[in-house]
Amino acid sequence: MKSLKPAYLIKLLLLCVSLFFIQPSLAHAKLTTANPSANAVLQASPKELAFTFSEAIELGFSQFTLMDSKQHPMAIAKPSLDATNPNQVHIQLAQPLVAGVYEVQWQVLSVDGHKTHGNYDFTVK
Amino acid sequence: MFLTFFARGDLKKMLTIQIHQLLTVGVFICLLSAIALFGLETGLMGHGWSDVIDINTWGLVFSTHFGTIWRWELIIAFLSCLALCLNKRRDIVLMLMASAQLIGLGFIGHTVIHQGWVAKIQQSNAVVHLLACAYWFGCLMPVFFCSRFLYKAKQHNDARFALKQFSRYGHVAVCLVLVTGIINGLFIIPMPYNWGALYIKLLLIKILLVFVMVLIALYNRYYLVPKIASGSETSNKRFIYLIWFEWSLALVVLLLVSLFATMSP
Repeated sequence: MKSLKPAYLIKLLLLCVSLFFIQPSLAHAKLTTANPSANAVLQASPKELAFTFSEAIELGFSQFTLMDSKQHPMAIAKPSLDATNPNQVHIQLAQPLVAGVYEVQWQVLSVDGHKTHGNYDFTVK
Repeated sequence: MFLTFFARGDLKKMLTIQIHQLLTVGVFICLLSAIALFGLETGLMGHGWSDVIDINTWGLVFSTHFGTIWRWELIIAFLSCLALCLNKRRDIVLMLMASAQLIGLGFIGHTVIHQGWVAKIQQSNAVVHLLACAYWFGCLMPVFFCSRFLYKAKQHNDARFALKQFSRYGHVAVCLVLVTGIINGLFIIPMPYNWGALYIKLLLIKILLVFVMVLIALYNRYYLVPKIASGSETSNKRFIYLIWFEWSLALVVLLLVSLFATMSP
């Protein structure tokens, strides 16, 4: 039997070891960061809403709603995926937000085919 | 695969006749289940049963990652039905079609939760896992049919040859199933393990069943087969019963996987 070169063995060993350092995903998209973030208090209106999820998102089956202080839905642009990161969603605001408490409601379909949803508030002073 | 690579001569003709009906039913079930799964996934992604029959929602589903893979699953399932009409090379064409469908399954579900090189390794691992499992489970039925020819003088040698070939590659397949299964778990399940989670409990039952299957395979290969070779009819009967038992366990494993693959680990 032809013997394996040490370099190949080291590469194989590194590959095996690296498998133990892979951060397993939760397999269902979770909201990892948002801008504005939950319970944030802003001095001025944000220009856009940005969301980063733990998995890539299917925009066709995802919904985002921004509710004002009176629980009326605000006009927002169509969500778009980040050009370099399919886990990230950007939504431009149609108009600057006046002072008040706003609620973000989100429901997303991740590429593994599962739906998740959530909501959070932020305040504009 | 068993018919294409392992069976030869008169045995191949006999097995082809016996397995043909089973193969035909299997190919049609494959197409129907592929259509049904597309419908169910449409309802799950959309707003329930009303979207299952909504053509616009179908279009949206086909534009998703799942849809881009599943359109090929549907096309290949349909082509497999047509391939049943082939007179020549039908078995190898069906084997290639089934392999292509299994490879497609390696690119959907929990294997798309990572990105970049990690995703590529996870998906390659899942593809190897699926193909190795299919070899093991898929060959059990032909092995059952083949083992009945061990005591027929005309097909005895061919049956022994086919079972030997199956066993030789079976060792590799079982090892691959176990190794790729462990790697898949490392990719998907978050640490520290939540032993109380239903996903983990079902996974542990699956591991236990696979362990029993491995024990049966080892008992068959290293205890019963040498006895059958020396002419023991009792061992041959026990071998056939155990093949059936192993096949039933594999079916339960498949049902378990179908159930917990939809859950979050």
